[in-house]
Amino acid sequence: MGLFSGLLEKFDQFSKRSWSYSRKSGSLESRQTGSSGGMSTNELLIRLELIMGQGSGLPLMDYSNEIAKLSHPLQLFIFSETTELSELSYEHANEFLQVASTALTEMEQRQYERWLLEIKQALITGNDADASEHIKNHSSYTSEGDSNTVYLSDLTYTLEKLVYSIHKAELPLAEAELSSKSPLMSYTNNEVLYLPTSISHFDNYEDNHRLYKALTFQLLGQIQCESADAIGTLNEGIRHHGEKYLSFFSRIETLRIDQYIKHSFPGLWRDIELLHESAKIDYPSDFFASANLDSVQTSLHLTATLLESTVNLPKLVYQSSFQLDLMAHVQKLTGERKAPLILNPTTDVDDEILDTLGDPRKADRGYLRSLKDSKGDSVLKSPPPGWIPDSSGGAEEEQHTTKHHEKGVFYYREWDTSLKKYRKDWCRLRETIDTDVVESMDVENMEALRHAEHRIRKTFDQLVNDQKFMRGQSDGDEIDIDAWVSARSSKSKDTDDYQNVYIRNNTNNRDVAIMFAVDLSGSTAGWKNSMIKQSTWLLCKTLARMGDQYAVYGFSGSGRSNCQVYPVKTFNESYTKSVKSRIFSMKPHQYTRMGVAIRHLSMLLGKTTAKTRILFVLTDGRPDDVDSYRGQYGVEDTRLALNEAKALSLKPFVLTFDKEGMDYLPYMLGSSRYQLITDISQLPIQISTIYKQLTT
Amino acid sequence: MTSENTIDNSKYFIKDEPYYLPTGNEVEIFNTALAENIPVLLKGPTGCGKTRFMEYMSWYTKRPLITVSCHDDLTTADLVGRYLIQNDTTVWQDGPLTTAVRNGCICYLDEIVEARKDTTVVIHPLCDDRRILPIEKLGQLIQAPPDFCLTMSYNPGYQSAVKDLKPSTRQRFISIDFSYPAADVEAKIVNQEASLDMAACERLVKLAEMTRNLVGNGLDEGASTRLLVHTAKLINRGFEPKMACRCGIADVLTDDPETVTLLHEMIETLF
Repeated sequence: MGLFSGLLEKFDQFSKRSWSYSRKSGSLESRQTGSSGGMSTNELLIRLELIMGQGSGLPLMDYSNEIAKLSHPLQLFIFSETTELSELSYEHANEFLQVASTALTEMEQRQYERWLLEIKQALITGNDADASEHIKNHSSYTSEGDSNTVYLSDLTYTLEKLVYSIHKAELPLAEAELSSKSPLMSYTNNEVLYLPTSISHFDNYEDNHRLYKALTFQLLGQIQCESADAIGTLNEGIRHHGEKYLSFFSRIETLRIDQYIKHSFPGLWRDIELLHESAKIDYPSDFFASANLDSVQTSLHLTATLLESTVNLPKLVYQSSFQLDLMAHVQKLTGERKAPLILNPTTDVDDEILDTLGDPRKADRGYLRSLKDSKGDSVLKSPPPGWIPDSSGGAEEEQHTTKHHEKGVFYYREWDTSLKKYRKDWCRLRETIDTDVVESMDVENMEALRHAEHRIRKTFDQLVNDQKFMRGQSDGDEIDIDAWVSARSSKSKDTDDYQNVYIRNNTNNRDVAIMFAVDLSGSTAGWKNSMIKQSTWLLCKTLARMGDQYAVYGFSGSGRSNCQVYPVKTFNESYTKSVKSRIFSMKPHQYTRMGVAIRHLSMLLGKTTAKTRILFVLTDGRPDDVDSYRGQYGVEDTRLALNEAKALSLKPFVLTFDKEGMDYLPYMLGSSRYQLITDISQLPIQISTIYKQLTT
Repeated sequence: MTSENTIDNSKYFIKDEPYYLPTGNEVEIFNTALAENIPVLLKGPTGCGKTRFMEYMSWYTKRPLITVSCHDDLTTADLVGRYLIQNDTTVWQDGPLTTAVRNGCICYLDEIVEARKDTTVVIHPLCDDRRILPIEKLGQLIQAPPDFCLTMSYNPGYQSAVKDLKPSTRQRFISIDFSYPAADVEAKIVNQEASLDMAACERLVKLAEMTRNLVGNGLDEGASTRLLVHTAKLINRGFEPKMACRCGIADVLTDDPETVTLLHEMIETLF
């Protein structure tokens, strides 16, 4: 896997270079792109050769032709799965490739995930024939036969948040390691809850759903009821009595946690009782009455007593496992986190941690030394040794634990139109402040600019004056004498005239916040960039007099992990020299991944409390990025991002230079929410006119 | 300067004791502020009992209470007063603030940050040792009597850089912080307000705590004590608890389908 990952990474870099070349030349793009927005046949063939080997004699070209018909995310999925399968069995990887494109087209995501899970499970347990059978019978996974199966991926969000609402700290849910012995294997290391990928234990969906919840709360119970405190005694007990000791302890501890659930979560307890009925378990209810299970010590005591007796407690279907090694290891790290011993050179780290844990057997001195040698937080973030299935898994784990703490970095979902669902935390966006200082601006036609400034000021002044005094109002601060005289002298004696005799002073009553999102992709280079800068500058200069809140951000990037926004002026800043400098240092960057930029800037705009909030996007073309973020995929994601902005009560508006914009903008935004600008020299005046229309 | 009574004070008295369970020394602080003529700022999330506290203190101190719910169209004239036309002539109509000053009432400006910034400046001379209300259009300076007290409330959760109290306003007050009461106190409040059995009230409070833990994680604000009282009343009227919680809490807190599902799951877990 490591070798393949390295090769694929290199290939990605090569691929990015070719893309940047293709953008410059403007001619290779169509030839390099697959028909449905994915990779081209040549690119696919090279990748397949990297995985399956060059000159393998396999019909890789045929496979490539088939895979080329799929969307880019599905293509990537095939490569990652083929790589994993080839490590388990080269032959099965080949069998998978023969049917992959057909199977994935037929199946829904959760169906093909289950299909691959069962193939891998069969290979891990040495049942090669079963694995081949699973591959061949892919069509059986498309039937509704698995409608009773509940998938962890479907419940992760709800269960994680549910746990968070109780535990007040994040306890991510992850897939448990595949186990042929126990498909319902679940365990925790006190930091992550490991649950089965899917559950189809019962013949109805509701019970399987209940089982997921019960397993989750059992694991949460292990943490909240401090089961891990028993690790030392458990190891001792296992040494003397064998695995039977752990088995007894697990059952008693499950009952102890049941008590906690019964008391605190009656609704869940009712669900658990239904599980008892469905699993035909004779639950030892009287056990609660006789045993006083108030701490893990009592569970241990009872375990020792029961070992000597003939009492037989049933194994409960939602009983979770105790992974002692894992718990001990994380406990070590947690102890380390609580006491920053590394920072104290006079303290013997090893000994103090051992003292904290209380049991010398639990400590791994070699590992502790490695902790001591490392510096800072990275030590704490390192996953425990022996708990990294492969390099990619480790990378994912690291991303999961660190992504929300990186300063200035945000993660956003993205809509995958082929899967018809969001890809969670798919795009990594960074706010980058351009530090280039531009003292003198490059203004080509100063006279035209002065004219434009005059026009904008006139437009905005009109806007301010229009709003200032509203005469003939039914309510207001002052009496409108003219209206009153008019009402008095009116022959009609209409009583309504007498009601509208006030002046309402609406000074500062404009409550507008506008976010200018400026496309800084490579294609805006040259005169477009100059016009964008000049327009932004004039707008910022003149907007100050309106009292409206406004912010200007540029956006660009290259690939989903390198999305960038460039703050030019934030809502909290006033128009200063440094803002002016940032405006004139705006330069073209890379590509236009519009969805993530819109999501981020919508989030910022959403934080303002203005009555009218406008997201104004200035762009020169359709959404486009290196990793197949183009065509329907890009348009659909951008459309969804704009819809999300609307859901936040923002008003999106797109001003484009793209003459083909009419092909996709009506679909993306609906009518009257976009405008095409044909004469870019008119940009400053156009923006102010649109601004007036949007804010009044 | 005048201090003539312009209203029938009895209309503004709270005659029956409102139910209020003190959670700290807020009653003593407020009484001291009244005695020392210091205006009071109440901070706290929505539905935590700020308005109820004011009603209680009005009853407790036997002073009339005039409440103004601030909004973004609230002008100085809305607070101080304006000329109206009546039968071919103009007459001056006091605003609620002027009325409160003239009659020695407690004036409670609810959600003050919602009001326009120029509006809040009018209260500055009332809030320092001068205790005067200038009425520009009448050319009067009204000296506030000792019984007059100005109180404002706001929810810090709603604040942003653009909608905040000016430091010059803020620093004229003493502040009482209202967060949600402790679980046992909150259960007692719900029990008292809705006459629901204590076990169900405790479960409702647990649900509220779970929602409050989700603030910033899908919810802007957790369930308030007020929502719990509403839900408890539904249950007390015979509604099934899960249904009452959905109508009274989950569907009120959010429209986001994912978060609604999550809240429903919480309810299923607890009831």
